[in-house]
Amino acid sequence: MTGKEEMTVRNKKSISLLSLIAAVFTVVTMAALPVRAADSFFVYNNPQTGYSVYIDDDQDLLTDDEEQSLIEEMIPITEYGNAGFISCDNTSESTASYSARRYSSLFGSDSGAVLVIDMGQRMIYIKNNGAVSKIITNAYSNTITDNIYRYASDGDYYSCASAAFSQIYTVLRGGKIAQPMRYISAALLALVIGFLINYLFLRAVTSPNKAGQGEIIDAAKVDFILRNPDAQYSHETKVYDPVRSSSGGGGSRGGGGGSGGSGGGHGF
Amino acid sequence: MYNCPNCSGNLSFDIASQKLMCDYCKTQLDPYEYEKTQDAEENDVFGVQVFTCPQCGGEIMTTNVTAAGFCTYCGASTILDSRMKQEKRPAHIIPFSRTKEDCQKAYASHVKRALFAPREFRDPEYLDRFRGIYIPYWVYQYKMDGSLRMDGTKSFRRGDYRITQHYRLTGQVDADYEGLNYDASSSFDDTVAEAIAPFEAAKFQPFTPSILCGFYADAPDVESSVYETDAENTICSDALERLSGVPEYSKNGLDVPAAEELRTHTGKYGLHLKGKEPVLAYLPVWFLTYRKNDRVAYAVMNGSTGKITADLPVDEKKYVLGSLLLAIPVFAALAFLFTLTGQMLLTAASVLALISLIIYTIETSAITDKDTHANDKGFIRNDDQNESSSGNKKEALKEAAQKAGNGFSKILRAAVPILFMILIAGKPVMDMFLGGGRISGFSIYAIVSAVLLAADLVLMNWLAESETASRHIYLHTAGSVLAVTAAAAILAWNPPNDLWYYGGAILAAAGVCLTFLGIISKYNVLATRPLPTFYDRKGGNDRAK
Repeated sequence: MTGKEEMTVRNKKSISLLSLIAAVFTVVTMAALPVRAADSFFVYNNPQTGYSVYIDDDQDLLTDDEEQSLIEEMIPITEYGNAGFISCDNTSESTASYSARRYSSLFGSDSGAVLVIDMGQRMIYIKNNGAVSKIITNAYSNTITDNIYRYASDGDYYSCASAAFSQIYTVLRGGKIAQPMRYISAALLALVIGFLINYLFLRAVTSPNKAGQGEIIDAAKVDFILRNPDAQYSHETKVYDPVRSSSGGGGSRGGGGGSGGSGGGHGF
Repeated sequence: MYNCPNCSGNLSFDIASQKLMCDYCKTQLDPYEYEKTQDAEENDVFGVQVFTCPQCGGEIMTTNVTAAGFCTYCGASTILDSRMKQEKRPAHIIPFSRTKEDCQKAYASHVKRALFAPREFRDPEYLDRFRGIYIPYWVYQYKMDGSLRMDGTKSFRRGDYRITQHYRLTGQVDADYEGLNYDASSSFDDTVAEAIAPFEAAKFQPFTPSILCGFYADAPDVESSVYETDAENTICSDALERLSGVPEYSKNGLDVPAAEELRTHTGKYGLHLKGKEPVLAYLPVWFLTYRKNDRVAYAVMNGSTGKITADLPVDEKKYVLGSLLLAIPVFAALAFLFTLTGQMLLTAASVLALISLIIYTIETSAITDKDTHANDKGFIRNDDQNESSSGNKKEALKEAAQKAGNGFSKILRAAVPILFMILIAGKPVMDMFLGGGRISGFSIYAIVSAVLLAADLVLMNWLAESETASRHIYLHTAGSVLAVTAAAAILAWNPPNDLWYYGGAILAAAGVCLTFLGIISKYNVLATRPLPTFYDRKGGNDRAK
């Protein structure tokens, strides 16, 4: 073999090897990185936990790049449960019941957290279920939406969603998030309740103990004699009053969305 | 007037020994024996020295000559006018059996519970002002007898029928009620009398004036007819309770009429209720007066049973400090247990503001009642009887009516909150119609709070009749009214920015604190009384404030 031929063969081997490496890398990368399927908004599935990331930006609040970044931030949440982002223009029901209904249809009773930005009602809402809802309680959902609603008010929906999932993940990991209004609220109410309880206590200990009729009679001299008490039967009256059958109890009205879990929201 | 036969020293009734004792030589005498030696004949009257307060017209009597240093009823430290008088001899008396020391101890224990009472209420010098007074009481005696006829019914179901069996319940009633007592002094408030009641009829003793030695007495000035209805209602109510417990009646479904019905239609039930002529009794009361500016507070103890009642004003500084201390554990509990959104916080603060306004309204109403003696039958009846003799009173009432405002201004003041309510409620109602019937819970609260606030303001406006009740009313309530109004408007408007909710909540908290300070101010008015005025007596100031 000439030197040129040797080089050609070596190049071919190298190209084959590189192609193989590229193919393997592509396969691995395809498996690991989120890929949007043409017919689904499920963009990632955690092979270890089986939980997914779901994005349905119906209102086009996020650019493609923002969506990709958001997916990256939502992926860690799949260690604990599903993660979803939904933007919608819902006017037919409350955002809370819309969120509960969407959550149920997407993830059933699985653990997870969904952030809904409802442009129809200008409302952001976090709906949680399963193990996630045990940690991200109503209180935390409200706190997080309190912390992020300003981004939505300013039209910065990416920052809004990013901050929401970041704070959700922080709490899931056992970290702390800022809750300044929680303490301010408690302080304000405590002050007012303190004044009220103190007043009720004051009234309770100082109200005069008025003598009852029993006490007054006990203090008087009473000599009460009843002789020959008797009861004579007089007559009987009858009223037709058929007993109504108590069949059925009427149908129960359908529940208002919600399979338990937790949630909280904020207008913007 | 009552002197020691050995040394001519003053005699006083000694509670511990229940005898008359000489202040100097300590000779002890039986009051009834002493009376016999002094006055062999039984008289319908006895001599007393009457002290009259030049400020309030209140009168207290005594059988020994020690001058009173201050007025028991208005607390004025002044030289009281005195004169001799023959007073109608009462039939009974219960001598003091609780000493002044007992009274002071009981009062100190009572005040201990009142954490916010002013410091001077625990001052030993102040406690030394307790004064023993015999208050005149009417003692009623009734006989109820006759052949009882009442109905009984038992109902049960048989198949498709509801069966009612009727019974005629009979029996012979023969009952005596003796010793029901009601105060016969217009200066002794009924609410105080009810709080220290009852006096036990078994402790009644025949009256002898010497037992009054060392104590004061109030003069009876209320007709015995004033409390007849109360006594009869009490008797009828007790009789019905006893009859209800009779097995022959209870198992056959005695139809128990109301006490008032039995009293007014005793014949219908085969009974007769006859009252004997009520007699007077002097009953022992320890009395303490605390005067501050234009109000007086009383501490009163039943000198026989030891039951005590006291008007206990509140030191506002102590109340605020106590509230702030109490707020610490409440804060810890709230911060640990709850996370409130801005809307929730504002709603909660608004609810508390509404509660504070309702409490304020209740206090205002109670002050009006107290100032006008609405619950004091003795005062009202006595007042009515003397109305014609007091020209000043009519003028004063006219003046009060002018101050309270005429009908038109009341309607105008009522119209403002109603207009406000319509304006606030309009927004959520519009939202509901435009939003296809959907309305949030916070919007519903906005409407409800607006309605409640308007109703409360109208009510407060009508109830604050007396000048004391309406004093500073705008200052005290403005904060909470503004807070509830703002909260309703914010919740109805529903802005996304939390600053509105937290700002509204801060406003509400400030308003509630201000209103509670107003409530305490009103409570202090309620815990005290207007200076007493005795129109039929000398020197009464009709509209003392």
